[in-house]
Parts: sequence; structure tokens; C-alpha cells
Amino acid sequence: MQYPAPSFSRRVQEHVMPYFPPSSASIMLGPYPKTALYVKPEQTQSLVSEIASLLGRLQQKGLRVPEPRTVLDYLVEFPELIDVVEKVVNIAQIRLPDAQLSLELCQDPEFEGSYLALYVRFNQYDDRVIERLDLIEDEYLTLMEGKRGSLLITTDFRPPE
Amino acid sequence: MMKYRNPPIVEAVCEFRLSRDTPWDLTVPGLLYEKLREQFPNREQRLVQEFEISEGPQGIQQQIRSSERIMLFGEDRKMFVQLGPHLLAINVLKPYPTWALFKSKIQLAWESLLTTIEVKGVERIGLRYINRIEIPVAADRIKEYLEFYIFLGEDLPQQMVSFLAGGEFTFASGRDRCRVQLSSMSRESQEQTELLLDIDYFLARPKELPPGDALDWIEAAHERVECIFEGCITDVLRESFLPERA
Repeated sequence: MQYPAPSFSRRVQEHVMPYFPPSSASIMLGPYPKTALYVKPEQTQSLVSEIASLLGRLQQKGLRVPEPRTVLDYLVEFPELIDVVEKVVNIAQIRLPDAQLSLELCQDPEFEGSYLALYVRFNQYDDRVIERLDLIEDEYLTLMEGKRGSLLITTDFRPPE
Repeated sequence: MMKYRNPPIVEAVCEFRLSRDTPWDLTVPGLLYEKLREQFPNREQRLVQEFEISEGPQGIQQQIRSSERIMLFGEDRKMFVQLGPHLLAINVLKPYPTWALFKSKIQLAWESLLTTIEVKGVERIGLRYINRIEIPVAADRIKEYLEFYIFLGEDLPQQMVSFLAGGEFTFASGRDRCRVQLSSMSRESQEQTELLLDIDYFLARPKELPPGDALDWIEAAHERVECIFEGCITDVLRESFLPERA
């Protein structure tokens, strides 16, 4: 591998690095014929690291995750939900900008096993709340098709914490 | 070699990235699946996004590329093989079995690949261990449990809400590197501190290792990862993992 001159490498780092936390997914180098770029060392890809990085990114964007360990464990068990979680949170943040979103693992005695719940909480509740959740339901259900594991978008009618 | 009854490992990965001149096409995952299906019968697919940077005539260009990853799961879904373009990875999740068992799966997958395609070279091999560590104190007392942490001088605030510390060590005259990262897992309770201790030992010089030497490299890498891990923890933390004593 050929390394570029330090000044070029520095320009690349300044351009790209602010957008990537250290534990993000690998950055591929290439195409290679012209100049091989060495921006940051690649990492051995890891499922746990990918999920931890995702949760960190979403928390920086305002998502609450009171118990990250339980959510991480659930997504390790159902990795096909990783992409779904990110997309659903993004959709909810766009469609419900006045809501606080909280991603939590829930146990329901009537439901065998546990599931992820994206709680939507408002400062005030009115009879439009369910209608607003229904607006994003179609998008969310499409993403969940064929996936193992459960992710529910709901509200517990509690105030934001 | 220390063994623990309650090891903190949440994931271990062995990843091979093949050189670009190794012929790879869409049939390779299927051919490999036929060789591995007895131990990894459950086949799934994921799309993984990778970020590509290159220099073009108009300057730095960024491209987000999606690549399909085939995942082959064992029956209990605690161990799986990942196949992607020029990539083979073997992952094991908690509970970590033993190194002997993990290595046997690595050997199976790697040797199956060698008998499926002609591997021209190895761009990178990585052996990564991610440990989740809970300590029953706030982060400012971390030095009672770890020998690898962020040092705060006395003129700095001693309470951090989150942190990330990392460094790289070299081995084998620079051919290999070991990246160690310690990060906090943010949670709303301040009575405990949850950490990820991430040790990634990898081949840093592409194509410097013949494919036939890969398994020996992995054995040596594992020994060094163990040494690094033991060097990162204090006896106080070590006891919480319930070491097995002869």
C-alpha cells in the first residue's frame, strides 16, 4: 500500500473524520489505481461494535436509551433489526418532531419473550396522538416484514423524562 | 493461560480480507455454504453499508456502497459465519465457548475457503475481542479496576459523562498491530459504570502473510490478545470474572 504525502492525508482527515466516530463501520479504501488513501485504520467488523455505534449515533441525535445494554443484547440476538431500528427512529424524528423518543426493552407477561419498544412521549396528549402514530405505521410495518424479533412504536402516555 | 467462569467477552470475531486479485464471484458464498451447512445450517442475508473514499480528478470523493453479506448461523445462533466480497468472518457471541472450539470453527471456515477458491493473498486478518465490563463504582474510580484508562490530571474535572480511550501497539516488527479501545456505555444511572474493552489484533501489512500461515498467525494473535487483556485489568476486576484455579 502506498501512503500519500502527509499534507494530503491531513486534508482528507479534516474533510472526513468529523463525521465518523472511532467505532463506526469500516471505511474502505479505493478505488486503488490512482492514489490509495489511508484515512483511518480499518477495524475488524463486529456486530456488537456496529450496534453500540448505532445506539451512540441515535443518542447523539436525541434518542433516549435508558438501558443500552438490554437493547444491545436484543439487537445482538436479532441483528436483522439493526437497520430497521435506525430507519424507524429517523422516520419518527421527522414525522413527530415534538415527541421525545425512547428505545427500551420490554417484557410483557402476555407476550412470550421480550420486545423492543420505541416509546413516543409528548408534553401534552390529545385525541390525535394515536392518529399521528398511525401515520408512520405503514412505513414501519413494511420495514418489519420477514424480520425476526419485534419492534413496536407506541406511547405510554407519560410525559417526556 | 487464565480461564474464567464468568468471562466478560460479548463477542469475538476472526475476519479474513482477501487480496483483490483473488477471484471472487457470486457463486462463492453458495459453494462455501455447501461445505459449512452441517455446522452452520441457517442462511440469512444482510445489506451492509461501507463508506469508500478515493481521490479523483475533482478532489476527494466519498461514496457509500452497499454490499450484501451472507450470514450462516449455527443452530443456537451464537456462532455465525459472514461471507461478503473478498471477506470471510467467523463471529462468536456470549457465552464465549473456549478458544479451542472457536479456533476449530475458524479453521473449518478458512480451510473450506481455501478448497473453494484460489486465495492469492491476504489483505488483512483481524482477531477482535469485545468485552463488556461492569464496575460497581463511578467512572472516577476506574483505576481500581483497570490498568488502561484515561488519566485526568488533578486540575481537570474528575467526573466524565462519557469517554473513549484508545491506542495501538505493534508486534512482529511492525507486521501486526493491536488496537485497544476503552469506551463507556452511556446510561442514566451513575451508580455503576459500564464499559466496552475492545481488543483488535490485526495484520497491518497487506499480503505479507502467506495464506497457508494464517492459522498459525491466528494462534499467535490469540496469545497476544490474552496478554493484552490481562494487562488491562487489575486483580480486583479479575476476581469478578471468577478465575478458575488449579
